[in-house]
Amino acid sequence: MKRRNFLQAAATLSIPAFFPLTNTRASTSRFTSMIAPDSDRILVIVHLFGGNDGLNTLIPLDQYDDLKDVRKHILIEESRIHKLTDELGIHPEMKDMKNLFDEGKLRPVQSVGYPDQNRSHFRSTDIYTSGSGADEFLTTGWMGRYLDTQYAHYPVNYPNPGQPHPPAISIGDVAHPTCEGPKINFSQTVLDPDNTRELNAMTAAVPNDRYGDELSFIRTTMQQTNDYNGVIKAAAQKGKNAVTYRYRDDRIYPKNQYNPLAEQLKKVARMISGGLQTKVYTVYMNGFDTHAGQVIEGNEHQGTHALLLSDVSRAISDFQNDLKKQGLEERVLGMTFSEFGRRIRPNASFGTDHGTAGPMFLFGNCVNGGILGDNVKIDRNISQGAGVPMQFDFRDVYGSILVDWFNVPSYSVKNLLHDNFKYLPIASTCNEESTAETTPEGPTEEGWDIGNPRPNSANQVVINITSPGTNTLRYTLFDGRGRMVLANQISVAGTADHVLFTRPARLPSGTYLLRLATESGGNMTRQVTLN
Amino acid sequence: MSTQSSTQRSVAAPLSPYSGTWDKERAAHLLRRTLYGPLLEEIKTAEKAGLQATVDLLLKDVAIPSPPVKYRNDYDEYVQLGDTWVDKNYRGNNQYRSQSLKGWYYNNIVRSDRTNIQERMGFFWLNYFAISGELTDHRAMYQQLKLYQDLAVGNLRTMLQRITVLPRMLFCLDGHTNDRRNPNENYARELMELFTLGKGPAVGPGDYTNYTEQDVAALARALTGWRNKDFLYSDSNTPVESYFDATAHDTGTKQLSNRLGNKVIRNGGANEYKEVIDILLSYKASAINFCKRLYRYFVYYEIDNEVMTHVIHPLADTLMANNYEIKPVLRQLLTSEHFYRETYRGAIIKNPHDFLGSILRPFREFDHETKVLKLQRRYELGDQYSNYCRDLKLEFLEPPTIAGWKAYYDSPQYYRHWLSPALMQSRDKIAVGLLLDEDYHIKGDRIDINYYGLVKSLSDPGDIDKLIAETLLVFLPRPLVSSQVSYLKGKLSRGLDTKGWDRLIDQYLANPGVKDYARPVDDRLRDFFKALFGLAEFQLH
Repeated sequence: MKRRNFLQAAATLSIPAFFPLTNTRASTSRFTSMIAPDSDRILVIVHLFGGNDGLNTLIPLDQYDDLKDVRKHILIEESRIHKLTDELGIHPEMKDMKNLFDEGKLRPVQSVGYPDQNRSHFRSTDIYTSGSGADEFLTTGWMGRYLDTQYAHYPVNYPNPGQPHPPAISIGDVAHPTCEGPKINFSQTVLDPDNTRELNAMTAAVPNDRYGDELSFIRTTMQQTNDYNGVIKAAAQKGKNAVTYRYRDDRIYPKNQYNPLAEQLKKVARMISGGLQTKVYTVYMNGFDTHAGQVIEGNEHQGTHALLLSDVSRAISDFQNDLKKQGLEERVLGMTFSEFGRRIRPNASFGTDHGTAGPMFLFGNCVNGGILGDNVKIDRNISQGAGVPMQFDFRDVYGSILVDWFNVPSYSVKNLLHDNFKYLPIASTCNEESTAETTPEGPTEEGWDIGNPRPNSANQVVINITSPGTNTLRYTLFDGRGRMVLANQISVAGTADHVLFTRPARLPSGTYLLRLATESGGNMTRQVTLN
Repeated sequence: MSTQSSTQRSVAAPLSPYSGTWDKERAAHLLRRTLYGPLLEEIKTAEKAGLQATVDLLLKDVAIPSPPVKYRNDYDEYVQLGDTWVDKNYRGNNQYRSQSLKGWYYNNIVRSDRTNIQERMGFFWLNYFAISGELTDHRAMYQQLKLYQDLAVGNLRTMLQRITVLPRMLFCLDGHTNDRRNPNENYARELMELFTLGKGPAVGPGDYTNYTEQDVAALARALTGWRNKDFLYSDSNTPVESYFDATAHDTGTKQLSNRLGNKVIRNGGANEYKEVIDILLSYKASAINFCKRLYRYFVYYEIDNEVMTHVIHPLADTLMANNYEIKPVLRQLLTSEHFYRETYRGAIIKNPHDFLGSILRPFREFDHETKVLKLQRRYELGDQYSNYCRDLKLEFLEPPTIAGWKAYYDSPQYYRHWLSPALMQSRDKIAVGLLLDEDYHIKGDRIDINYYGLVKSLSDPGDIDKLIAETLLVFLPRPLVSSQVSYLKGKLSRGLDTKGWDRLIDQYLANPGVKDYARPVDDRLRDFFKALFGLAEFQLH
């Protein structure tokens, strides 16, 4: 069963078109989770820094003889490669990701890059994180530009009741450049959600001059930091992991070593599980700059690259299983990227040098199945310096994520990324409308009955609710563009009229979408017109 | 009548010499804007010496630091341990050179053995000519940093001449491929837009008020012919040098637009770039552009009409009247009424270098840890500082773009770019969680702040209120309100009365290094400074 993408629909379609669905709730299978049902879709970005060797990650089996010729010192023995299809294999250490592929939860995209690829780690990382062309210098990140459309004027007046959670979280010490906004980076850094830094936002009178202005700004920023840390910590404590994240594979690593990527994704899963409405998480793994010792001579399935890919594969698989067990799978999409692929021909040190295009992986329950793109054709006369030619522009992958996952219209994607944007089917399988999720107006099986909200003359919005026993009901109000403008909760018992809220002056007249959520995960939507 | 007109004159002349009170607060303000965190001793000296003498000292030509050395036993056949590598062959993968360069640079930032503007001007230039992009041979990067030290308060014309043919700049803005057959406009454009005239409003197609597209094309041709010796991955003895290749130079006549007086540049061969610079500097727009950049670095980001008219323009006049010598301009600014206006005191958010320096320099960094900080650890510590600053979004050799860091040009945020919730946490972690931590270490060797040294330098540490007041003078740009002072005092006294504190300090001072006496005071001071560095006020200078 797929979750229909309500909010994004509301953001693009007008509200009335959306409203045959007057009483919607999620399928019972998801009622076990404690997630806030109105929290939105989440993107997890996995940054593999150093330039991953795509040709030893996804191996074009139909080119194997030619590869043997041009990559002979590093090519992995054919029998060890896991087949995704008859033509394409995956590294021997990526068995878990092969399984995800078989389940339809992994979408490899072949030969992603950009024209005139820059082979500097730093410059190319800038390009990949800003979403620019090779000759463009953008100071914002591609996600930052998208988030800027969702969190107007950020960071001024954030967090607020409508948007109480950080827009993005970077696991680690440094806010990821992908989330760099026009004013400020949208991400909070989280090393350990249980152990955040409390800043001393002590207030005191400030002079009415330039010094005072800057001082007030800093105090606000500190307060904001504490507020966000508070919700992050609360979510992490409320959330859980439903699987044990494995140590590194002890066939190839010493025993009992933590998998650094898994440790990060474990935190992400906990925060999602705890109901954090953060839209983007970034995690980071270093080490892919395999100039030397990428493989071990004579045992090409071993070496640095094998160790790295093993960590990646196990971590992503554990993360996906964790989400599955918690019924969160359909809310999360993952994406890996690396700043470039490596050259086709190896160097003399059993490694590979900086190249051009390389694969990306999309993972999650909503990815389109199969492989996107064709195998690279290997030319035996290829020059020493050649990389893999680009098949897809990375901005088209990003843009398609925005379209499929965040329901951004194509014309906006062009503004956010590039004019030549071409849509690629990446993660659209959860977007089909599913009538199974809707139930007619009237009492639910559990005994809930929610009336239509009625604005009264005192500017209050009143609603009649029948509750099966004493419950807490959370509600969230969205405006015509799908933005949360208000959120709170009330206690309900039996049948009664409740004043949900008094209309704040900041809300203009118009039609709003009210979503009510029970503690057990059910949710219903109602339309409210404020005049 | 006459009184009134004289008042008007003084209001209208913000650049007139400062004639107000000269006290420790003003002295500290001057030093905070010109040093990376002044010491108490420097503040006292400056107060005593007076404004003019202090500015003389700050602007004095001083020797530049000795170059970075090979500090660990990496394989590098050309260089012995302890010797510099800056003029030695490059094998392309001498990892230690990068760390050596970073360590050296940051050790210079925190050094406390001289009172001079050189280091802080170094970063001004690094931001002014923000050579970005791919890192090249570390010798080339050293050459660039050395230029900024050599000409820290030198002549802008000389600086522009040197920069125009500097290997890293040629590489960064494609000057090294600029060829008469295929002129590359990259450098010519930035030279006018950022380094000299500044881009004015676009008033017509390709017309940016101060120059036009025609000028970009003409100057690109005039600058053709400069090449780099192949210093990037060279195994040979190739030095880091550029040279003029006459065969690549456009010998034709270059016609400039009416914006540049319809001037004509005729073939000047290897010296033609100097004529280009002379032409650009003959316009006041260039001087104004430079003075605005200075102002934003030393005074405040906002330049309104009044500041433009009464500060920037007169400074630009001074710059031109002194043939682009920078010292007279800095002297005029740093001794002006305007510079000491109350509203500007503490109104700059520290950049990561200022932040790091203001924590460490007043303690004389870790200078007392002589047992640990032998050659290798010394460099490793400096390299660690460079990592902190990188995490705070200042990667000193990789400016985000050729325009430099946003804090100095991007309206309306300016300095606020240095702070976000994420970066606030990183700052707190670096100051409170690392540098002040009892277990702070460099590569496994523990080092600690020299609280004893600081206490000993205070006028009357036995008086807890005086101790606090004097310390705040060093570390904060303005006084705190009384509730904040009591909060900090609580960290120190932990309930001790005045007498008890006095006795504690007496014993502390009389028994240096004796654990039983050191511990109670050091612990309290550690708490005190953790609280102090955690205040919003500490982010300002």
